[in-house]
Amino acid sequence: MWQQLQEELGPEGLSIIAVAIDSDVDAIREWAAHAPNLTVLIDRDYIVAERYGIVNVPASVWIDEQGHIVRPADTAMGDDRFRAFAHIDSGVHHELLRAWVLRGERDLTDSQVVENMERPTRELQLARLHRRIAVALHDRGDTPGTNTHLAAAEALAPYDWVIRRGSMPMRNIDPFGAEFFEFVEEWQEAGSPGFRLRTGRED
Amino acid sequence: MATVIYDTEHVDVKAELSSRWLMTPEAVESLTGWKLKPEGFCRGDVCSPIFNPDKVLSYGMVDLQEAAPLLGLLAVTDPSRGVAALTASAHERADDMASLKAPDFTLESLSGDPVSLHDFNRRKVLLLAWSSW
Repeated sequence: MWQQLQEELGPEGLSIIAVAIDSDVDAIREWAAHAPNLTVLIDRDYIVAERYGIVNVPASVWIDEQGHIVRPADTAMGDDRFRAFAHIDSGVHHELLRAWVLRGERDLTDSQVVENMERPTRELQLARLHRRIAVALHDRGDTPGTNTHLAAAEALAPYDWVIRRGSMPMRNIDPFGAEFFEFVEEWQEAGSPGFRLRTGRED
Repeated sequence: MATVIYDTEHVDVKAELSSRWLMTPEAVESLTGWKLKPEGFCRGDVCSPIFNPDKVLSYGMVDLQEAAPLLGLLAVTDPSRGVAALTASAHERADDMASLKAPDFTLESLSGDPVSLHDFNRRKVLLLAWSSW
């Protein structure tokens, strides 16, 4: 759907930059093949996630022609593939996007944008640093070092999906396996913390 | 070898590594822009005084982890493995975000070319964070 939205809204002035919070270049390449009109970038060190307060994927941030954030990080599904699991109607976000690009209509004021940002705690920033160190150690083949820093990151940010689920491939754990579903349960018991905006939520 | 990860940069630095991560003041300055002076760490007209020199300094060297908060930064250091990471403190980052100014970034595309947010100047941008996991 992102490819379609880029085709539809590109001539109207929209560029979709798809930032892969990922190190698996083959998987990124495969995804990008289905979205040839998107700009696909690789963010191994979670730089964009940190600067824009992204704690889960897929997420979107809107930036206007003046470099001004007009919508903060929020879950943004490309389609309804995960609707039964995530309880999100993806079309709601897409319609808001069309209204903004085609008619300049914003659904949030500046102060609402600020209120709904995921501003970091010290613990979350520290977790992100541990994760960055883990990625560097993983590149060196230092498994104990990788695991030490991932464990530190997870203890500091137990409900951040990028930290928790996003580190599973590095630990050779299936991100759709038993440990993932344990995490989801833990996260739900904690009140499903995450993005404040709940665009298209059905629960 | 000692490496400091600072944003997208992986910088090899000269450091004295024991239980602490110690760097020369010159190395700290080239990494962060903050210069050690008698009045503290200074950048431009701004100086940050060092109230706990016993922790921050050691025989003319700077303890990166202890110095970071004075520079508006946060550090995690692993001296035994020779890797440290440095980023904006939670407070600095939160202030940056609340300004609503979209922070620039430069990342590699699949073809290896660097692409920056500012390349999309005058366009509306949907920043889409995704992953294969």
